[in-house]
Amino acid sequence: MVKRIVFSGLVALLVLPAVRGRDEPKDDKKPPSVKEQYDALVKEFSAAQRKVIADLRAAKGEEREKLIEKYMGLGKEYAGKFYQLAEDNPKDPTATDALFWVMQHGAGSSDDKKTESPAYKKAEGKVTALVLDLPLKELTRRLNGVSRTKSNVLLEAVAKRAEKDDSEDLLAWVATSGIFSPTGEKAAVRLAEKYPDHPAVNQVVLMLGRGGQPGAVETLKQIIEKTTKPRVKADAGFAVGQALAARADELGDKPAEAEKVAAEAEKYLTAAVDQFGKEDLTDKKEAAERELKAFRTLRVGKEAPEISGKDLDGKEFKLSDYRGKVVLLDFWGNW
Amino acid sequence: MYPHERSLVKNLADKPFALVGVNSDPDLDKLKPVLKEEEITWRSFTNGPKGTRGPISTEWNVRGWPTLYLIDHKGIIRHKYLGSPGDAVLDKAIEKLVGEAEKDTKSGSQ
Repeated sequence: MVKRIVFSGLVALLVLPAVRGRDEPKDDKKPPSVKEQYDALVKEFSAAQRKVIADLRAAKGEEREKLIEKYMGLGKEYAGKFYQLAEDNPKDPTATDALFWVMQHGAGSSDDKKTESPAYKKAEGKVTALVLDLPLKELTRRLNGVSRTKSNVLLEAVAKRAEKDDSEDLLAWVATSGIFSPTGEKAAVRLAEKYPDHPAVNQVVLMLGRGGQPGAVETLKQIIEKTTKPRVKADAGFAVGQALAARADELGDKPAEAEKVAAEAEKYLTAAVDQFGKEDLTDKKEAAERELKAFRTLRVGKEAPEISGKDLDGKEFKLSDYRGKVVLLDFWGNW
Repeated sequence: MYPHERSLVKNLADKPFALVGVNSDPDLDKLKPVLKEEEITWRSFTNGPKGTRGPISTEWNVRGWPTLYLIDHKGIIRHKYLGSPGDAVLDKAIEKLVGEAEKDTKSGSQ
């Protein structure tokens, strides 16, 4: 099942890479160095990205879907070339750049392990070995270019190195980059306990509240238990409320279970409103109040609130005009 | 989304079902040609010139697009989806609720 959500941020995401890549004068007589070959590949890749984005602007309907899919899969297409460069020049320092490039871009759009490219698999092995050898500073810098990794092998290796070198930045990387996996969740709890002041603690709490993956609630509750920071406690409590509210809606077909989850969600959300109020976090308090109100009125099982407005031709109508019919209410936009 | 929505509207034309949109395009003049090209015949509320920050999506706490609500014939929210759940899941849920609506009409309780 493909679940595609277009957040308003995606538009920015698609446009951003278009500004990269600039021409540099080149000497044609010498064979290009490994670094030059690497730069040329990076340039080729961003040109390919720009091309898809340009096509996307002109495309319609299903064509757009295909192009977005293509955009997401571009890195996988190029993974082979980057990996080959690294393999042909194992002694060159640029080989490491190429391997990390494959880790960042080469996984492809699918979560399905079977569609993983051979180049990605091989790069994963080499990068994992590098995790043990690279100087801590260099490793941290390189990993900062690899976000949301799909490689659990890499996560595990970095978690081990973080433990060995007592590195809070590496632990933070495992927590943020792997937050949707058990390894990342474990790192998040450890980070909150061991390094409560690290900015990544807040980041993972926010991510867990939005993500809605199975382990999120449990992880957040552990963070609440371990942290000494009232702010983190409040944020994590709010995130638990949000995650439980989302789960209650998914349990629409099991009313008894949904009721139980909903009661717990209400408890956490109400506490969050209080807590934010006590700490004078007005913005957060308002957000929590909005969430609580939405939770009470817009839940599965509640009567849909009335909508009264204008259609696209400026004519007034109401949602309740459709009473007696099943309504699929679709919040949409053509972008 | 459009092709599946078109087929829903067409296939359920004589059933107690309606597709109602809340459109978040800030500029309706730019949207009009799209409605024609994509054969978007179903009715939509406009979320106003503020686009995704308009009053209806704010009131409904919408944070991602598309967000879908499936409401039964009595006006009760029965399903909520952030992002399309896939055609098959949606079809099945709609079919079930349309069945309930038809049963109610026949037994005269509606």
